[in-house]
Amino acid sequence: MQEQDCPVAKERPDGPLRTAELQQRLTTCLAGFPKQQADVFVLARIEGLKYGKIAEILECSQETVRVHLHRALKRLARELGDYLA
Amino acid sequence: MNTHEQIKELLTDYALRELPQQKSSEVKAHLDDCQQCRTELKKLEAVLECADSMRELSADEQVIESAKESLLEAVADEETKEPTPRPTIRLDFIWSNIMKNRIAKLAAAAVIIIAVLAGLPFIGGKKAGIALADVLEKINQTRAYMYTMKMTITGKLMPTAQEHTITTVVSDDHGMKSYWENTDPNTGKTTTYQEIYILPEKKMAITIMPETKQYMRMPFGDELLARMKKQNNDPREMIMQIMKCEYTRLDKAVIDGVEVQGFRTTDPVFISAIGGDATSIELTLWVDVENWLPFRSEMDINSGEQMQVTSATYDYRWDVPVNASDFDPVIPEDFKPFSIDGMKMPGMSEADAVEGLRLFAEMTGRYPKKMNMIELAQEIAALNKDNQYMKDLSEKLKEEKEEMSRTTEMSEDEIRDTLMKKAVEMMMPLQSIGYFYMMLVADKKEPVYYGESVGPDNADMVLLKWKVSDDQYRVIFGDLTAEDLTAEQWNEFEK
Repeated sequence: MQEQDCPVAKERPDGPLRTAELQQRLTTCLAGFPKQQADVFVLARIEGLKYGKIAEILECSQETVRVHLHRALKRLARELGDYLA
Repeated sequence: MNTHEQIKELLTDYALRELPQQKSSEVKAHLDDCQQCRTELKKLEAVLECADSMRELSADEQVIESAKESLLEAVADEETKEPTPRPTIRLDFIWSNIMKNRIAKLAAAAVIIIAVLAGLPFIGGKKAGIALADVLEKINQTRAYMYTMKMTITGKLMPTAQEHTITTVVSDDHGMKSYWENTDPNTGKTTTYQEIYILPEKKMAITIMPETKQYMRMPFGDELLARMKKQNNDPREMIMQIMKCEYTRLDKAVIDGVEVQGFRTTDPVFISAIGGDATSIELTLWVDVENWLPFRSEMDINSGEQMQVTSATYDYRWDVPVNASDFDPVIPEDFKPFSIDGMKMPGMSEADAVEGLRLFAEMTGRYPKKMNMIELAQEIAALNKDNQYMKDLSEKLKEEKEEMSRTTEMSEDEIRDTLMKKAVEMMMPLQSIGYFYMMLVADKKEPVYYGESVGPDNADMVLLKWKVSDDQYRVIFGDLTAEDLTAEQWNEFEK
């Protein structure tokens, strides 16, 4: 699947965003991610579950969970980049 | 020695604290020399920090929208499920977000309603001296008035900080309408994003959202209607009733060249119904000494980290000409009903609250610890995603969806909307808990709630008690049966 920047990331802000706005952007970006990638990120970082538990829930290996999390994190940092610094 | 490219690849591991000690030290050493990697790491950490901050937070509108999809997707998934059942974790997560959001908004809405009403705060307090009584008398002589309020709401309960400019027209004959505007801080452009009509004659609140071309009609519940009727549909009466506060008289001052007399209260009597012990309020009303009418008011409501509301009300205009058509909302033909259009407001009666408590107990095996809106909202938001009730709910929705596909001509979209509405409606009794409690406090019935120590099995223990009259109490027991007790019986009971 070809990755496209999420639409919100295109309008660049003048400066860093407040937490609440950033959360909103993050949610919107996640919604555009492949489902399993988004699920992993949500379960790991927002729900605070361990890799093992996530692997069990999503019926995949822990390594897959790890890879998805890393990709999602990288992609979020890239797409939200200008909002973050 | 690692190259820059190799280290860059390790940055996500480093940010996630997944590197072994030695690798971690290597990355750290590289970071000291490499600005590019430091920036990259900063971004990764900011994302993680943002996600961490979302753990306790409600989701935003977009999540609700995508949640609607996912909720029904999950139902659809289950329909076609393979022999291995697909876990419904996303559904549960999304659902808990809906709950967080709806309930958080409810709490916010309650505060907003007060904020709007508090455009004329605490007039007619129980210790009202001649001064405030005169002000009330003057307002009572006007058939219609309007004012503008600037309000900022921030805090953990709000997904995004909100800044509103609300212009409200209040008419004795027709009801109340307000325009809610947002000003974009970057462009300075102002847009009306919603118009709210409160129409007692039509027994209805109507919200029109021009930006999204949507509208929502909400019939008043019977109790709310009865309350409004009792108060001659006059928001001022409501203000009088809810703002019976202790206040102090301030020194005279001059605002915008006008000599004004100030009155201030920090009495949390009504706000306590919404915000619990942690909530504080400060309201200041400035009255024009020339005509003895309100000139400006300022309000700060603070619920710790959860929510802060700051507002200023000004530009009062008295005896403005209005006619019936001003209060007859026109919904353009291409506007679509919001998915919960037509849904009744939550009930506020004892029976509604009992139903809410029963539902909460059914979901969790216990009662909420507190009944005030904010703490109730937090408790509901924290409901475990493994909650059996949520799973059963999704099962039930699935059955309904099948039934509807089989027996009705409805399109897929219509079925989705109907089911979503249904799901929200099923949860609505939970909101009644907070509303009922708020009414008890507002009516000075001195409610005392023991949800922290009394559970569904404690049939002989009192869960909630309030005062009906000087020598009469009403109590709800742990098994949700209710009884009237005389003061004497209550004293006996307390022993």
